[in-house]
Amino acid sequence: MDIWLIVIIVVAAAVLAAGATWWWMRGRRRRRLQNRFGPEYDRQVRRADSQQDAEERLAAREQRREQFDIQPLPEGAARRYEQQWNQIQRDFVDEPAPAIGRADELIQQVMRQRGYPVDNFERRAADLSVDHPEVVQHYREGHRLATSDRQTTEQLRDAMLHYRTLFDALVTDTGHDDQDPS
Amino acid sequence: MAPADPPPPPPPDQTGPTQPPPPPPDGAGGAGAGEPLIPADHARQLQSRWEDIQTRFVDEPQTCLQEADQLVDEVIDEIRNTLQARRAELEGRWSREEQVPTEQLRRSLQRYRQFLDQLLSTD
Repeated sequence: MDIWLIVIIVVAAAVLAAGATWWWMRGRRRRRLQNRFGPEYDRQVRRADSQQDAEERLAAREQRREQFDIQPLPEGAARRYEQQWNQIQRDFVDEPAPAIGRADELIQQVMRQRGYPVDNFERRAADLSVDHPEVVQHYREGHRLATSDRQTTEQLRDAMLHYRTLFDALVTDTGHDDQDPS
Repeated sequence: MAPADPPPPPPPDQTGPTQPPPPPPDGAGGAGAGEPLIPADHARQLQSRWEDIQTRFVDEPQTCLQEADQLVDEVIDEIRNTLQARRAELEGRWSREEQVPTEQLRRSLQRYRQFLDQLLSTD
């Protein structure tokens, strides 16, 4: 047989094998990302130009998250934060809007102490979504309510409850950085 | 029927020595004049209950209003009981006997005024 024909067949087979492997690995990544990110996966797919695009973003988030050293709060700190949170809830009765602001600040303090970087809201939500894909939806919803126009007290109360869901998750989270996330 | 005898004159005043008598507020029998209407320990407990209610407003606004109303109602009851007890104590000093020396009446009236001042004070 012609040597070139053999070469072509071998190269074609290799290309097909590579393609199949690539296809299989992409499927695996897709399932992994869907499992890990849950509602956040769906959200990103809705907002992105393509499913591939969304998956690239989420994979990038995972990689960024790997750079952080996230630790749980020491017990004394957790109790202190909880007391501060309770004070913010009391402050809500006197001035609801500033209380929401302080609640978000307290959340950021907890995040910083646990090892997350300081950053704008979208970035913070993205970083949180890697370990807390369900709870981060509460953070987003709380932020939406807190920054919308013509807020009623009921909206602000709702925002506070959403924020607290995230706060509770962060303060009680015993997840260590060395735990296998998948 | 013969007209009733005029009431006998009151017994002679228990005039003390020439120096003026001591002012009425005596701690033991002064009807608690000047003391808080709710003892400090209990007041702290009530404040603590209030703090709990205010903390939970975000979670259950309606329930917290009910609890706040209940708390205030309880405090009103307590204050009313305390005030009535003090009034009763003052009353006991002059109404038990028919012939109360005028000096005692005088001091009792001073205590009533002090009590009234306390009730009418705006702080």
